[in-house]
Amino acid sequence: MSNLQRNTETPSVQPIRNTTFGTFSRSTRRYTPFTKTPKSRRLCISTAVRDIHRTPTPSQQTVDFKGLTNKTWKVYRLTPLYRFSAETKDQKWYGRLLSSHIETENQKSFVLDEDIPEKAIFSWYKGLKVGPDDEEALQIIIKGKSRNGNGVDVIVLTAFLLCVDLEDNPVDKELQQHFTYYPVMIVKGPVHSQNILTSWLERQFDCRVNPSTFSSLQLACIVAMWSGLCTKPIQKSKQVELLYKVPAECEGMSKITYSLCAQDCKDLWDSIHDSGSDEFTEVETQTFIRSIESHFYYYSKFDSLSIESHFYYYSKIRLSAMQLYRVGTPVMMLGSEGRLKIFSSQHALIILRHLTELSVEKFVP
Amino acid sequence: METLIVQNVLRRCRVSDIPKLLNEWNCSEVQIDKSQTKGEIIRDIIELYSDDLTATKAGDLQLIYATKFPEKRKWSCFHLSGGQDSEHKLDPWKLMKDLKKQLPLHFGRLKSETYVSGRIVDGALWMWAYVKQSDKFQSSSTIMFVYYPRTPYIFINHFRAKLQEPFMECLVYTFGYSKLTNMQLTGTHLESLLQLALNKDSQGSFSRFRLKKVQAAPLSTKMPLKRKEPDYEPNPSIICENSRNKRRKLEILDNTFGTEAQPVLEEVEYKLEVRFRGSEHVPAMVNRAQPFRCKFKFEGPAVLDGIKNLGKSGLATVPLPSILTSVSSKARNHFVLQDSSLADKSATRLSQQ
Repeated sequence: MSNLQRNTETPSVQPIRNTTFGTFSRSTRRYTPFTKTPKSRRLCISTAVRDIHRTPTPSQQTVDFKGLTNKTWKVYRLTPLYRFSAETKDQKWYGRLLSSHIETENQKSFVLDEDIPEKAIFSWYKGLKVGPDDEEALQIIIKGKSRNGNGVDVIVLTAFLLCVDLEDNPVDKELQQHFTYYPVMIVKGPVHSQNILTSWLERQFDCRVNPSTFSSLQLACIVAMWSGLCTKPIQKSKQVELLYKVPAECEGMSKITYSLCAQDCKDLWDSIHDSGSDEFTEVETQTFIRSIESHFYYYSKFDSLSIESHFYYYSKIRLSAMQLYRVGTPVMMLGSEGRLKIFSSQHALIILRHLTELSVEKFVP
Repeated sequence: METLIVQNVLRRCRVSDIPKLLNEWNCSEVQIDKSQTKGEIIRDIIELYSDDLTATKAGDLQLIYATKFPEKRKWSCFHLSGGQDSEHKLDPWKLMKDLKKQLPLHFGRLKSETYVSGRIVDGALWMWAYVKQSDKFQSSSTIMFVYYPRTPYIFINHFRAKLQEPFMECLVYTFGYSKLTNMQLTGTHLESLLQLALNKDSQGSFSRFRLKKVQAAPLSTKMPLKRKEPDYEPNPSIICENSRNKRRKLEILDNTFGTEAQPVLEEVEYKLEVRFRGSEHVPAMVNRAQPFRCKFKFEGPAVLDGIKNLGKSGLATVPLPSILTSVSSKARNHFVLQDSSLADKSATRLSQQ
C-alpha cells in the first residue's frame, strides 16, 4: 500500500487560478484523501543524533549555522545528480565550469538593475551531515560586480545543496555509485542568477531542478508541528502567524492574517501533544488547527482546524475553505511559493530535515 | 533639505503627473523632455527652481501632492470634543492663519525650527508642518492633517511619536476644544473615513439614502434594483435546491449592510484576549484560566464589502457576529475584545478604550 501511494505524485500547488472552481477544489483538498499524507511526522532528527544532542559535546554546541539563519531563501527540489564528484579537488573545476557558463549567459542576455554575476566558488558546509546516508552539504557562492558600476565585489548569490537525515535513499542500490542525491536546494539571489545556476546544474549533472511549493495541508502540518518549538526566552515580537488568501470570488478582501501569541500557542500545543512521543501525528495536527480555526469562527462566523476552531468560534468565518498561503512560528517562516526563513539556529536541523522529507516524498524514482 | 523634499515628492509621482503638479505649485508651464529618464528630469527641475526655494515652498509642493493623491497616505481619525463653539469651526482661512502662528510656538520647546504651510481645497483645510531635527530630511518629522470645517473630526497622517504631544496640545488650544481622542479609525480613503465618522447611526438598509449621495449624478441614473441579477445566463436545467436559504441569507446581509457599496477601508483588526473557544477539539484546554491572546487582521481593497461577500459566498455563516457587522456603526477599525468576566461564559464585550 505504501508503495502504491509513493507512486502517486502529490499534485503540486500552482499559482492561484482565478476560476471559482480552481480555488475551491484546492482549498477543499486539505481534507480529501487524495493527497498522500504520512500518518505522523518526526519532530526531531534521528535517534542516534538526538542522543548526542542530549549530552552535548563542546563542538556540537558551537554549531550556529552561520549564513543560514535570518535570511530569506527560495526552496528548490532536485533529482539525483549524475556523476557528481565529491572530491575536494573537483570543486575548483566545478567553480571554473560554472564561471564560464555564467560568462556565456551574461553575453547572451542583458540585465538591468541587477548585480552582474561573475565568479563561482564551491565549498563544503560542515554540520549538516547527520544521518549515514547524507551527503555533506555543498555551498555555492557566486561573486560579481555591484549594479552601481563602481566595481565593488559583492556576493550575488548564495546556494546550499542539502541532504539532512535522509531516512532511506530512494535511488536504487546499484545506481548509488553514479548518482548523488541532494533533495533540497535553498537559494538566495536575483532571479536571473538563480536561473543561470539551475540551468547549469541541469546541464552539468543531468538532473531536474524544480521550485518547491507547499500545499495548504503541508503548511498546516508545519505550523501545527513547530508551534511547540520555541527559543527561550520566547520573544514577544515573534508570533505564530497564519496567512490565508481569500478566494477571488469574494471581492473586496484579499487576505486574512491570524496571529497568535507564541506562549499561548505553546500551551495549547503541549496539551495536545503527547510529550513522551517524538512524533507528531496527523490527528494531533488536525486537532491543533481545527481548534484554532473554530476559535476564530466563534468571533467571525467564518469556519476553519484547534487553532482554526478558536477562530471560527469568534468570527464564524470558515478558514479551512481558504488557501493557507504563509505560516510563521517563532523559529521559522514558510510561504506556499517556497519562501523560507529560519530564525533559530537551534532548530535549523529539524526544519531542513522536514524539507528533505517533503522533497523525497515528491521524488518518483 | 528643501531640495530633498522636492526630490522626495517628485520621485513618488509619475512623470505624466509632474507638469500638472508644478503648474499648480509655481503657476509656470514646464516642458518635459520625454526622452530623459525620471532622475534626469527631477534634477533639471530642481536646478530650475533652486534659486528661490525655501522649506515652506517645498512643503507646499508636498501638500499639493497630498491633496491630489490623498490615497497614498494613511490617515488616522481623531475626535475633538468638549468646549464652546468658536468662529474657528466656520472659517478655515482664519484657522489656517492661527495654526501658522501656533505650531512653531508649540514646537519651540523642542528647540527645533518649524516650517508650516497650508491650503484650502474644496472647503477643507490641509496643513503641512515640518519640524527640523537634523540637517537631513526625515519624512517621519513631517506632519500633515486635514480638517473639514464644522465637523469635530480631524485626519492626521502618521508621524514621529516624540512630536505627538506638542502637536496635540497645539490643536486642542487653537481649535478651542478640551479633548482630542484617537478614534482607532485608519485608512487611506479620506472620503470614506469622513463618511464613517459622521454617519455612525445610519448603518443598514437606511444607508441606501446616504451612500447614494456619493454618486456623481444621482438623478440622471436609474434607481438601481434592490438586488442585482447575476451576470451569467441561468441554465434552466440546473435547479438550485437551497434557493430559499440563499435568498434569506441575502436579505439578512442587506439588512445589516444595506444594498449600496460600503465605505472603503483597507484593514480591520481585532485583538482578542479571551478564553480559548476551540476546546471542543482539545478538552484539556477547558479549564484554562488565562486568556488566549491572538489577533485577526482582514486586509483588502475594500474590507467592508469583503465581509459582506464572505457571507454571500458561504465562507462565513450568516448572520455574522456583531464584531464584524458593527464596524460602520462603531466608526473604528481597530478593536480589542476581552471577556467581561471569565466566570460569565458567553459574554464578551467590545471594550471601549
